[in-house]
Amino acid sequence: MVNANIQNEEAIIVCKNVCKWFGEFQVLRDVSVEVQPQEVVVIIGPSGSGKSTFIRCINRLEEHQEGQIVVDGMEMGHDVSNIAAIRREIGMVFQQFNLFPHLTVLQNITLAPMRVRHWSREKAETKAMELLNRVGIPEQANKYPGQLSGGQQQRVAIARALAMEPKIMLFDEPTSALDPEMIKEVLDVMKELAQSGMTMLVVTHEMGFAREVADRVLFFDQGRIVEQGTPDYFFESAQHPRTKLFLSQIL
Amino acid sequence: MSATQHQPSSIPSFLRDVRFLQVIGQIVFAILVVFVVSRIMTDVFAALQKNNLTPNLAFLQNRAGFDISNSPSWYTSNSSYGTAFQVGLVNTLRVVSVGLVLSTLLGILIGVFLLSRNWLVRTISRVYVELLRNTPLLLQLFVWYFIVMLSLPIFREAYTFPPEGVAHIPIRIAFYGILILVIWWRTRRWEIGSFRRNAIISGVAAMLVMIEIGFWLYNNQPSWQSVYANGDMTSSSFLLYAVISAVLIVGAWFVPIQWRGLTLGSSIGQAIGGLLVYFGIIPNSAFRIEIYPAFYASIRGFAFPELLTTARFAEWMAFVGLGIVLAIAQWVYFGRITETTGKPIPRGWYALLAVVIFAIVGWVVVGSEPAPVSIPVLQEDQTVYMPLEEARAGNLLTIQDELQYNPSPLIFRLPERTNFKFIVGTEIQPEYMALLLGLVVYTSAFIAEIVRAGIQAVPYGQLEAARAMGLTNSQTLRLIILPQALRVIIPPLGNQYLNLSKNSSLAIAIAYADLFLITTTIMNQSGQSVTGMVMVMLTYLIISLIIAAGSNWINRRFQLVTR
Repeated sequence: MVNANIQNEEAIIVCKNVCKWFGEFQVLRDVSVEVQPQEVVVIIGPSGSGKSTFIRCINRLEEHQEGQIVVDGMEMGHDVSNIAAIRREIGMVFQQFNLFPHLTVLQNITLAPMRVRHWSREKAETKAMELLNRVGIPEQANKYPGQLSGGQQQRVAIARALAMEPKIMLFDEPTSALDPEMIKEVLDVMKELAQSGMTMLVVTHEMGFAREVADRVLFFDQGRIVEQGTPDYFFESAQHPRTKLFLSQIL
Repeated sequence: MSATQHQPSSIPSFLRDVRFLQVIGQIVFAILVVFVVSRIMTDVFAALQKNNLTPNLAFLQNRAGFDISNSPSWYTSNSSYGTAFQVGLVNTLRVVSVGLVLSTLLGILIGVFLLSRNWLVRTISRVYVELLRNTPLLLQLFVWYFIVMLSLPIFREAYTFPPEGVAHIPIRIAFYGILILVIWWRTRRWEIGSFRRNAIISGVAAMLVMIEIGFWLYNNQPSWQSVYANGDMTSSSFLLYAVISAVLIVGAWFVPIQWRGLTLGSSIGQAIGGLLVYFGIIPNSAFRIEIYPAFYASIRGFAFPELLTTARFAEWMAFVGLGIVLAIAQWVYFGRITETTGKPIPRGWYALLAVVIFAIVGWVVVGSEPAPVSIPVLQEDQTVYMPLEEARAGNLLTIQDELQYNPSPLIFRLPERTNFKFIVGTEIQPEYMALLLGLVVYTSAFIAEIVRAGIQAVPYGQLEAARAMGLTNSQTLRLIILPQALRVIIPPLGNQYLNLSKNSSLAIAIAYADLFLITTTIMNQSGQSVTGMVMVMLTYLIISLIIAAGSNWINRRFQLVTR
């Protein structure tokens, strides 16, 4: 495979004409995006529009069938060593948290750094405590996930993803499974993360977050990027009728 | 609320107290139970006393008077009922202990197959499970015994494995093996592109085919020998072959690009193969191997090789024990290094290596200790002294002598038979085999379903989270999936273990002398049926309690903390 034609020195994620089918149904149609380092991209769209599938293709939780995805100069293909290397550089936060229920909070966070990055326990635990302080729940370190509230669990999940010191963070509807009162505590952590210069791709329905934090908003519909732009442009003067309809329904 | 409920009741208040009523209820129930049971017992005892059969344990001292097939050496028909009972217990434990291990292994395997992505594997294992768990165990035992075991050949015509005889293994097989290893190593991740991959694989295949054709001609068509494999450059058929090969190789450049790797590889490969044979580079010789069977199966049962421990075994075990201690120390030490530096160390392999090295060194050291120069053997009713080798050559050694004087710690002996029986080898009776297979196969179907359900009970998100963090597949399985699956698997698995141990009493259907069968015989002969029943019940109860305690203990270690 030749990927010289889409090499871009600047972009950390380059997607070109990415297509994906679930059986006969096409979920992604020629999605092309470039994400610059430190950029915060918020992806919105109606459910079933392919936005979750798209970010899951970036760390190959889903396999794209056509097109190219290049992350940090490495192409995401069938090469197992590339897949492993890319996954090391991408942290992911899920809607359902997906914390490991049989491990304590501390063990959840130190697992990947110790097993994948081969850090010492001491280093991994120092890093974990630092991150728990950052997300505001250092006192929960030795509890099990089942003993925490949803908001706390999601903050642990963010700390767990950050423990690998990723270059990119993917958020797949991180606040959709939370009680309204807990959404803010998670969004605050994400805002702080965005301000610290992390490259972030966020699938969310939190328009306030998008408006405040995003550098760019992508609007997905039927597997396509229908419209994209800065939050100001997007929320004030979107052109496409589908975007207008969507915004009129949720704002 | 209606007003009537507030009126004071005429019943005294303590009689309306729910706590008081519960206590009273329990006392009344207990009295009833004691009354009914004691009544029944009294009647039974009275009836038995009339027949002079008062339940007691003294009858266990009486002579049993019946034979048990394949009984251990400490039982004869002159032994007591108590000894016969022990034989039954040992036989039951032999089936249950082996059955538990085998059914677990088989169940896990089938359970994983049930989740296979391969349609054929998945479907076959599904059929296996449904067929076995939907038919009665008794029927399956009959099939194993009366159809499988009793259709085996008679003793003299026993099936053997490997088949007795002489095999010739061509030396070129080793060459093939090396070749395939090299190819596997070079292409193990298929990063070489389809052109080279096609060329290599088709080339090697063509070469091997060519070599085999050459040897076939050489070995089966003597008239071809002078033509095909004399290494003579002037031979006309060789020249023809060279020309055809050259044409094929050149021609391969003219086929379309997508076929070129394939054609080029195969034409070069067949040319090389032909040359290798022609010039005799690959020797046309074979190892001659005499094969003695390790396994026999006949209607009289099965025979396996036996492993005997000699007088020097304990010494050798001391070395092995030392190796195990070292392996554990290494394991802990490397674990600590991994914790403090993060450096991954394959400590399992190192531990294994330590044990293996100590076992080998121990074997050499123990085996090279000087043996007595001459040993006493019985020759024509006289004790004479002679060297070990001489005695062995003269066939004067008994097995006891062999175990006493053989320098190696273990002796491995293949089965040997006369026309009527095995003189060497571990034998297993067909009844035991039928019961074991029946129980294992039947229980494995249930265990397979439990394992499948346990793995499926782990949410898919756990797998995704582990993958997204960059854990490898084996790490994901070991650290994330298994610990969570096991907590679902263990409680029902314990139930299956209980089922297996109790189902073993169906041995009576195929006349395997287990606890229940022997106790039945004892009860029939002695008339002590109440005592016998109680003894069997208590024995199964103890076995079950031990199994339940074990599975509860393991279960507690896998429980989740949720609040």
